[in-house]
Amino acid sequence: MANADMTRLIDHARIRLPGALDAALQMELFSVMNEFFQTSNIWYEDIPFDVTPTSAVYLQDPDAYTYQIVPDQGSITRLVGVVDSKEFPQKAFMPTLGYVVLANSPQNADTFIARVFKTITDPVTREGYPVFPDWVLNKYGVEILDGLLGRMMSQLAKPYSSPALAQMHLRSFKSGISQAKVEASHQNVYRGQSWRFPQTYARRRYVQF
Amino acid sequence: MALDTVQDYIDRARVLLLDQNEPYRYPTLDLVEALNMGILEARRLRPDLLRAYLNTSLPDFSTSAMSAAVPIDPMYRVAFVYYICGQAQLRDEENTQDTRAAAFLNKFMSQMITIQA
Repeated sequence: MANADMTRLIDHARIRLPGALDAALQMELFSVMNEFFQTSNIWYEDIPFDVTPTSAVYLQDPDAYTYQIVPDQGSITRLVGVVDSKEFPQKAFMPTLGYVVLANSPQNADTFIARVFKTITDPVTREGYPVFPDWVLNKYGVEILDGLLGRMMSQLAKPYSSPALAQMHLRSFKSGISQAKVEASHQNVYRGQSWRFPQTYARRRYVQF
Repeated sequence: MALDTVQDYIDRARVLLLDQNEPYRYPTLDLVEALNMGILEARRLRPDLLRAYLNTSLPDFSTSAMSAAVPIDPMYRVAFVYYICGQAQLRDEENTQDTRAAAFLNKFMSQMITIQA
């Protein structure tokens, strides 16, 4: 069963969009959440993966440098960084989503950790709602409602069509995404910013998540 | 009347058509066909109403399965009754019936795409 925040969101939308079908709301909600996560980068996961040293040349055997990682929920949108078991950064890329390519062969067998940003994907819940962490809707419910209303009102020839209101709601949604992105980059610390030791004294370069 | 099955739609349409006593002026087959045409019109006007059928063929009802469920959201079921009535009355030749048919069909249309109807 959908949680209270999801029920509240859909009830708000039903009231403000007379004649809207639940199936249409669910379809648009999926798009709204996808845009929200892809743009704001607020949903991430650290995924460990085992690596083995190789003497192969990358161009001759790219698979030797490539490791598949699978998130617990959702799908990967971009790679933030990779660290080894001692938390030293390792240069890596993700040309194909879900596959980490190491720039250099590891010195020995180890467990690396990749931090990735994620977005929603199928399957949805039994009720048809996308799956994502509960706290997101609790914190950004108003912004997500704006996105849902905006996308619904921008549909053509529906009882709830309203280009003017759609623009207004979508503007608020975009502003909400920006706010979420900034808060995520500050790790939700009030007036905070990610602290870094003065780089003059830095001997090793650490990954800045 | 909840307007769940094909029979519910036909019964409700017969009330508005003043055609509740046998022998019927409007055959059941014609009214069921009108319902099928309403589904086609709804697919054009409101694809979201028939989202489950966007990649499959649309439902096609027949007089042999009058208890079949009509997969339309409850908010829009009354509009289909108006469509059946409008289609039935289109074939009448009297001028008064033409106006009535147009009124039913317009009501269907406006209920599909506006909130004021």
